[in-house]
Amino acid sequence: MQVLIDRYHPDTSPYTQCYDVDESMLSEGMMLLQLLQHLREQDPSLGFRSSCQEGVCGSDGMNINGKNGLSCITLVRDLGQRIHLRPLPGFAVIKDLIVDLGPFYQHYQAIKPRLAPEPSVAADLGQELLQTPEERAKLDGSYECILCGCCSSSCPSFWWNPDLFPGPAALLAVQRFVVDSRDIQRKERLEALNSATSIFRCRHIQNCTAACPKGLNPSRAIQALKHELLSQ
Amino acid sequence: MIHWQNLRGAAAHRWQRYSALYLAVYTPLLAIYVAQLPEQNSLQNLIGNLFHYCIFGYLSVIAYAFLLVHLWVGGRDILIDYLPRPHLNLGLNLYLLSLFAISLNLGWLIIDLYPY
Amino acid sequence: MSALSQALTYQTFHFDVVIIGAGGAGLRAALALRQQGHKVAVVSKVFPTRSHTVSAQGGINAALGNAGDDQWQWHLYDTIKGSDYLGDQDAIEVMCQDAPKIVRELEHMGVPFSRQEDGKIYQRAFGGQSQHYGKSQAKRTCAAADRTGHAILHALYQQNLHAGTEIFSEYFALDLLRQNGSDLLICGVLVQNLQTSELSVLWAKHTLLATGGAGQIFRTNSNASINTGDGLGMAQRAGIPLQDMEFWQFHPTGVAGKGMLISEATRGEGGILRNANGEAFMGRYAPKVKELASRDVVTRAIALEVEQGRGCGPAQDHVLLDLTHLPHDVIENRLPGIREISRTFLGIDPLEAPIPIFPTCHYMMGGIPTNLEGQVILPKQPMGANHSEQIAVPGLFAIGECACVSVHGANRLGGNSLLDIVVFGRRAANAIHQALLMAPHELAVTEDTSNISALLQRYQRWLEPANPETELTVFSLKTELQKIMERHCGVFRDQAHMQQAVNQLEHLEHQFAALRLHDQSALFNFERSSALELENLLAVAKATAYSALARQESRGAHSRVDFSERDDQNWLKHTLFYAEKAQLTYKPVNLTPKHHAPFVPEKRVY
Repeated sequence: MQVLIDRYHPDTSPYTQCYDVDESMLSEGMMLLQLLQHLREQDPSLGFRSSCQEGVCGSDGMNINGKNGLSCITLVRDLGQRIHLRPLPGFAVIKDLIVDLGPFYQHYQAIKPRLAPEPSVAADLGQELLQTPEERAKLDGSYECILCGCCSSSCPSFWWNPDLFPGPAALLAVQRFVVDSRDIQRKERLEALNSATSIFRCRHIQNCTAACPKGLNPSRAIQALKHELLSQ
Repeated sequence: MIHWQNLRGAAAHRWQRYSALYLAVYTPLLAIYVAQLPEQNSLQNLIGNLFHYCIFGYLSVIAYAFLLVHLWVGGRDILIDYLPRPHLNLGLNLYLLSLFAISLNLGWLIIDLYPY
Repeated sequence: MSALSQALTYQTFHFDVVIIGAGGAGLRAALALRQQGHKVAVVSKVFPTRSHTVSAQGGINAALGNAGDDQWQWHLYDTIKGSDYLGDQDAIEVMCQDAPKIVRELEHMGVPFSRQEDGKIYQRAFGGQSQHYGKSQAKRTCAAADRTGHAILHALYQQNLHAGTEIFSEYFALDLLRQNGSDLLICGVLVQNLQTSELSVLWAKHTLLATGGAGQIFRTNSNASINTGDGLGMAQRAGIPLQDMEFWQFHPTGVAGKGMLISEATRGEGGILRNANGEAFMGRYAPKVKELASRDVVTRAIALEVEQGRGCGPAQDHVLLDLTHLPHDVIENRLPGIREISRTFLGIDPLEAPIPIFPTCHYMMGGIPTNLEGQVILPKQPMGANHSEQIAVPGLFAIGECACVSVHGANRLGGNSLLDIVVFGRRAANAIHQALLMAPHELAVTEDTSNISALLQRYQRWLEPANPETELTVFSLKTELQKIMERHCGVFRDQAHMQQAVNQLEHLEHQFAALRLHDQSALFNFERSSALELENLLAVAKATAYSALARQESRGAHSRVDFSERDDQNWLKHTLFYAEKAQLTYKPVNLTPKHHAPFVPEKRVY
């Protein structure tokens, strides 16, 4: 089996390295991350991020055979005899599979991802802000985002305007607060998206939804946000 | 002068939808209307006939206005996506100018054809 | 620039407080300090939301009483009983009293807790929880589906973004800065930018360790690869002892053969453990509460079932966690993350088939000794007669899993770790805030009066290239370490095995001393960061093996075959391990809560 990895170090020109992997070392149910760790034991210079190894921290987003995903929850056996790994597209590469997610985080920060409850109620720690199960259910599908970047990295609108278009992850985060019954800044959050270079750059090609390793649907969230914004 | 930072999203999106809807209804009507006309080919006749029934003439003027809106919103979105940022304002202004120029030219043509 | 000259130069920054670790504890403390207007830096070797708090599933305990009667006093009792009476009762009292307010505060910060019909926070049953001091099962664990840790960590990160906390993301903390001459005054930390390998000195009036656990010392564990006990290693190198390091929680339900966590929430929602005969065996081990016994009890039960030949699968090496009888909407709405993990890693949908599970190393009850305010403390005379007299280390605080207050004693209750990090994160922040108000002056220490040059000298070793011929790599050493610990310091322990662990770790330490790096790149050098982590893992493993070998009793998670009973006469005391001479000393357990009669140790039955 062959594993091809797009290698990059600023001191040399980029190249694709081919690792021949003996299939006897692959265990049943082995994840791609384990394979990468194995490769790094032989070649310590191989660069990739990882942390939780179970798909909840979002460290190890990468492009796997042309599709973005998390290496720790991608089965090696599903990837065929030739696995080609590339860094997440649309971001500056720092080293090998490590990209600079700075712009991605900045968009997240820019949407003010913080619950803004009624200040008088929020100051009272003697009681909870009540929320019915139905109101809470509206948050399902948006609060679970792990900020891995797989969605934004697969979005042409984000590739074109990485500095202006918030990208699916940040817009999903907006939706998380817009639908939260405890939040009082719904209007401001929507108004902040009302420019030609923000949410309306999304053309709903749904690459984001196809890429999301957590099975979330940013495209639908963006559609819902547009609808809210238009019916304001 | 147009500046990309001042361009709005929701309003433009709304106008884009309205104009599309209008044009979607108007265009088949126009086709049917033109097909019914007696055989003639000149632009002068065509435009003259459009205004033969007043109501369809007005509808056509509105259609043209909507067409401009649609062209503007669609075009500016494409320019935002594809033009390098330093040239974006120039591109947008040139595009808007060309839409004006085309309108002026068309207006002049009509006046030229029907100088009453 | 060559790697060598890079290592010798460093940038300098000044802060009121430097917090090492951006998990729940670190971020909670950072938020409180930032909101008070202090100059705070958070150092994290991963982007904050990649910290291991994100993996916490089941929930956070608080006696809100949303789902049936509850009182903080019952929570106190349960936690003390769960700790096998090794937990300090004054500390546990503080935690349980603070809990309801702390959880409501989190809720106000935006944590999307699941809800009951009346709109209040949903609470589920967890192991070891009771009403009326052990009479009936309580529902005390506040949950956001089975992603509570994720929900809390993201909310705390969001609040910190809003507050403007300065975060040194992807910076590795190498060592604590000490003032020369003084006994022990901590004045900041030496850090390294993982991307560029540049060194920085962060001077701080107060340094707060919140570096989390070190589950990576065991081969099968539920921990993130970043959980390498860096704070414990740094503390040890600064001369601070580690407390109760023999107590490691093995979570009963890890994915068999892999170790990922299957939350206790599965049992709280009604999951049943079955052996190869299909028998729900927990009834034999905990007749009253069965699956909802304390974690150490369930873990031993599973290990015994397997040992006695009633394990499932071709190798008879695991048991089954059966959720198939639960209503589908319970699994879909309350346990979606578990379902996802089971499908991803086992190809099993818990709606249709039981999940193969086996205990996995999960949590370190021990850590850096602290008082109720998170201040690091140590005995005034380590080897003297009066062990109870403790002094605080000026300028140093520790919170969360890396600290030992001790609220978990010999065994932690599920749902108490998220509570621990938030309660003590906040308390430490308050204490630091008070200290800053009392002494707002700048640090007097300079480069010449600190240990910087000694630390840089130590670092030099990583700039020396390895012999290309050598078989010795950081990765092989780490694997060896994990095997030693798993084989000799696992769920069941005895003298002979633990002695072997001690001997083999000594040998490993010698090998580590000879370790050098093959990769000399300055850009994201993982071989180097792995080596730095391994050094800390070794320190933790050694403390564990020595402490465990010495404790001749079975208590909580420390279960000895050769001393199978708890021995309150001789061992109702905390262990302190000093690394320098591998010495052990002990200090008494606090048995006097302030607002409740003391809980006298009793036989622990579930």
